[in-house]
Amino acid sequence: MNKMMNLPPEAQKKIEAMMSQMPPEQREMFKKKLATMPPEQIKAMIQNLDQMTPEEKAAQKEKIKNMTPEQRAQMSRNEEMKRQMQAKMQEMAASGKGGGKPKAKDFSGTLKRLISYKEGMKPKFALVIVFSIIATGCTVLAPYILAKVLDIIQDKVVSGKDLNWTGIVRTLIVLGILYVLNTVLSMVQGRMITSVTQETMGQLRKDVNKKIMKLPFSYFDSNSKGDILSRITNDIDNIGNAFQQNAVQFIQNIVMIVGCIVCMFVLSWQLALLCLVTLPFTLICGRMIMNKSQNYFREQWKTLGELNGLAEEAFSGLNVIRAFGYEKNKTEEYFKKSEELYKSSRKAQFLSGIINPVSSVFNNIAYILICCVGAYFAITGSVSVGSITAMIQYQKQYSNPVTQIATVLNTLQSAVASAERVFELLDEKEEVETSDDYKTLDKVEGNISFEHLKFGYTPDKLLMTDINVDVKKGQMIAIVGPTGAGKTTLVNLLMRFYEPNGGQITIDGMNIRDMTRHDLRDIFGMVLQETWLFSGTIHDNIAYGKNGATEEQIKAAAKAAQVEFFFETMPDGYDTMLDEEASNISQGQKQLLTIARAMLADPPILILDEATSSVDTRTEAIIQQAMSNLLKGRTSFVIAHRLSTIKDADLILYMENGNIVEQGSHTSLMEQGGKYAELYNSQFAQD
Amino acid sequence: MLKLFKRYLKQYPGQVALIVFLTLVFTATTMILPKLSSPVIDAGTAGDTDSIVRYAIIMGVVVVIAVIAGVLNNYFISNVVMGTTRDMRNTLFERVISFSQEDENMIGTASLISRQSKDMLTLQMTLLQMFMMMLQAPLMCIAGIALALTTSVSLSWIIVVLLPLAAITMGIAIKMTQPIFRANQVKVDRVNGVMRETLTGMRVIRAFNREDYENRRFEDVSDDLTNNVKKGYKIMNLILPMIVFLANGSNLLILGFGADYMKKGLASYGDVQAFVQYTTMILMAFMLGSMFLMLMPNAQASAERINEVWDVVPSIKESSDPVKMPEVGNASIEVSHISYRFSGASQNVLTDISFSAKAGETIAIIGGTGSGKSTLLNVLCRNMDVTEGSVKIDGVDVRDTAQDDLKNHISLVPQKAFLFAGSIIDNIRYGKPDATEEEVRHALDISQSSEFVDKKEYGMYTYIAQAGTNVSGGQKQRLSIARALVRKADIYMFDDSFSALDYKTDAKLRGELAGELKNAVTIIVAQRVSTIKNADRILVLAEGKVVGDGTHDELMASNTVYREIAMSQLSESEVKGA
Repeated sequence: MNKMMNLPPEAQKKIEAMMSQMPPEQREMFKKKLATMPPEQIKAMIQNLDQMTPEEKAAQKEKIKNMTPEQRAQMSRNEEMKRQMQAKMQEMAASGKGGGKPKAKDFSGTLKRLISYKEGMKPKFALVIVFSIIATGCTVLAPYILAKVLDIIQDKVVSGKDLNWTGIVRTLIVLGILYVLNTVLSMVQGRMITSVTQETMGQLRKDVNKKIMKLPFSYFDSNSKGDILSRITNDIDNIGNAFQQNAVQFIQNIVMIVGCIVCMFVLSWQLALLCLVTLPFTLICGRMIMNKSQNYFREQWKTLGELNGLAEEAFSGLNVIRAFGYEKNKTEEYFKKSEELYKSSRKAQFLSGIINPVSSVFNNIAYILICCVGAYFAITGSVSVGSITAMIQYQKQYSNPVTQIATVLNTLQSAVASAERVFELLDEKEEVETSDDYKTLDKVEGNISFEHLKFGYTPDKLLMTDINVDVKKGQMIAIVGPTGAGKTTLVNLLMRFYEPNGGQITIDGMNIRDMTRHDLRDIFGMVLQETWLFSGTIHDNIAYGKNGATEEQIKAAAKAAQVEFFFETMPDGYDTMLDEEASNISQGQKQLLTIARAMLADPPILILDEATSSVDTRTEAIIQQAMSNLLKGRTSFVIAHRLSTIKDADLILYMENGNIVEQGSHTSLMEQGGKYAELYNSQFAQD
Repeated sequence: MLKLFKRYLKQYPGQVALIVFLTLVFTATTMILPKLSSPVIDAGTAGDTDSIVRYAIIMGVVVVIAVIAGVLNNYFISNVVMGTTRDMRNTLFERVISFSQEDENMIGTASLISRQSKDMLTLQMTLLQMFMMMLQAPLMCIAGIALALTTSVSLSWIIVVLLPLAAITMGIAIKMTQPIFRANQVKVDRVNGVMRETLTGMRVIRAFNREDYENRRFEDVSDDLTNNVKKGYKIMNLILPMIVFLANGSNLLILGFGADYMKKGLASYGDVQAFVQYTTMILMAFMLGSMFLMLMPNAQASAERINEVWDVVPSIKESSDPVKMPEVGNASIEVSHISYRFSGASQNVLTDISFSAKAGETIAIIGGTGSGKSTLLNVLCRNMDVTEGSVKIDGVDVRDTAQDDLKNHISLVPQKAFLFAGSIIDNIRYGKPDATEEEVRHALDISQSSEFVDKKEYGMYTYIAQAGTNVSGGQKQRLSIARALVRKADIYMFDDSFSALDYKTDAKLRGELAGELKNAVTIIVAQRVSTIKNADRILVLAEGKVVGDGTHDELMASNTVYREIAMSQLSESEVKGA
């Protein structure tokens, strides 16, 4: 928040006023965003806030009234686009993408950390550098030595004397040794850099995965899944590609350029200067074309994005398009965008494609100059013919690295920036330890009590101020209330996905902070509304509930969850593979599968968080029957929005704005005629 | 893949021919320079200044020709490549948009989207590289050999030795790396997939204490990927220095023997140095070609995925001699003994279902998850063709009429409310393209949308973002009902379309619907008994069969399945009172 201090006081006030209207989770996110936002963006945002005084709002309303329908539609579209654009910009700013080239904040520090990330990699990396310097050195020296051979030959041919065979053979042997050395070192170096890069990447990937398992849930509230996923995939890939190819290439390029230029000057400083004359032209010309094509590329990517959006929309809404016979309109729309894309990509491609032939002009001019001027010098005797051949080779060798080096450097920069993002994730705080001496419960009875529990997603704004509930073993507790009332939060605290800000929760008298999270979670079984299945067989997905479950136990659990028949009729039975989205079974079946999973776990305490909301009521009723068997003798917490399913609960907690407003049995709450009764009646309203 | 390209490149015969020609010119000019340099240097050694100037001019001309050819070539390549991708892209879209429900399910929406974007991009890149590299490589190689031969026949045996060696090395490299690269994408996808699962299932993973299991699962796929990549690079790391060594080795040979030949007068000094450059070029061509071939598996896979879309045989066939349906206003539906089975499945999804209805009647369909309700609707509006039996709408078998004609008689509210990017009014007009503002207003009123639409600053001109992200689920559902209502049809189908509405809005909406749709048949699929209580006829589906058929009262009295559903939802007084 240091940045805010730099803002004028009235701007600070405005931002604070805006934040006070946000729900706590959103505020946290906003704060984070603010921290990464460039100052200009913050200013623009404040200006946006400024624009809407009540009078202006009224004026705008009046304006809108007078607009034609087309203008209105256009205006609304523009605003929505602007809103989306801003959201995207903020997202990109937060994830470090966009806004031009990604720059690392601490280039050398991050680079050092990356190289020494995996044990034993640093010396290997040092060897890679040494080897590639030597190997490139060999390549640089070769033409120089070649020139010697040619000169010896030339000398004798011109003078008509006998060839100095020993001299030639000796130099050729030296040359041969250089070539062999180059080849061997390149091979060894390549192997080593592969192992360094790939091992490091693998380690990074695995460490990030492990880290994710240990991060507190608050981290996931303020960071999008897409962002985390992109760190583990795109960023790590980015690092890998850069180091596999560009790191070595960078070293080679430098050695090559310096080596070539030195050798050229040694051979003939006049020809070397002649050769360097064309270099600035190549660079400037390349840059000019590049800049121009950049605009077209930007347009191309924009159009491509729009086109893909169009296709995505059409493919997702295919059933609607079919139903209303809109195939032709959509096709026309697509074709039009497609044509636009064709036009912009053609231009972009053309411009970027001519860089090569155009810059080859300058290279060829240098080539011609060396040949002709060199030949002229040869007549005067100031340059040997061998030197000309060598010069031609040097000219070819050094011009490529020169054009490459800027790109290589950029890639390395962005790789280090990627590494920075990965390290940032690896350095996040993990779930806190809450005791030095964890205890275990030998036998779980299932008496639970919440005592003066306080909790807020941010400490300064409490959602729950004082929760007190006493649960006897074997009771069924229902938690009801409107969205955002804190029902799931209560369960999250019980499972220690979050830590309370005050008060405590005890199980059989033991504070849950005195148990390890692992031991605590062993006590619970959980079924969530989000039916999480992983790609694997049905069998594996059920078996997830319990380590080392037997075949019989799995089948029994499936039977209890009323899915036995269904799974047995699947083509491969329990071995049917579920794909990542589990699109081959219905939502209801997915839900039943997760119930089977919880049943298999056979825990002393059960939590059902909207577990049956995506199955139809009849199936729900059937599951309920099976559930009631499972729930017998166990303490259970049930969050439900269909009140018919929780009427029989021993204790119903009605929550609102984070606190328990009413608690009691169904009949007592109905008699009370409060909020619960109102909600119940509204669900079963007569029409 | 090549077949795919061939089919589309056929449309640009002139330009493709020009590209081949210009590539030839460009390659020839760049290769001719060394050829010209050899007499220059020879002239230098002979002290012939005039020849040097003459050759300098010739070389200058060659360079100019080269750049003109290069730029022109690039122009045509950009044209053809982008044009071809546009054509392929358009064909793909046209195909997909005409898919029936079943066709669509075969490949999957997510996959279709990625084929349209990712695979198309891969093909575009491949095509580009094909023209830029693949075309040049053989030309460079042939030209290199030809020039080398004309420069010095006596040195040419070195090329004869070199070529097979290079070819064998490359062949081995490609053969060994191809399966590795082919496997790579799958392995990358798997790593990403497991990671995505971990992120979405965080609560479940921790609740079940399965962190270690997940870590192991991830380690397995991650190590698998690492090993594969290492294997691929290992080969590449051997092959590339090897090729360089071949080039260098041939230089040694050329020099060694060249010196001898020069002495014997078989070759000039300039010949030897030009020869060195030609062999380097030939090997370069080999490298270019093999690099392209190594990239092939990726492109091949993309081409296969695109072809797969094209090869889908439409499951719905347009009647060859379509019967014209009567004008809208003679609503009736007659379903007799229909069954439906997915191709390849062993069991029916729907079995022997019959019912009929005429204008003003409401048919309700209720049943559990997976009982076949949505499939039934799909069959009725011919998104799928029945396996047995027949569906007649307004007296015409749906298979005998043109699909456009049929669709004009039906208005559907899908289960998943889907809106398009565009204004609210644009979205409503999907139902009836020429609907007036008044008609749209009326549809919004009936669907209970007006209350929230009017609150918006731009009213019905409010822009809906892609996939309707700026309206709530209930609002989306109401708008999609309005869209169906604006269309004047004979059959209105509501596929569980009231689920996201609160009970009050649901009741009010249905009240107004009855009056609105009195000249049409209404078919409602629902999960809530209260939604369908007043239907003229209720069909209870279970496992694709009708297990109950009658009015609410009849079913309550006689049908256990229906009663179970009702009991699980309605308060006791309601059940009794109804």
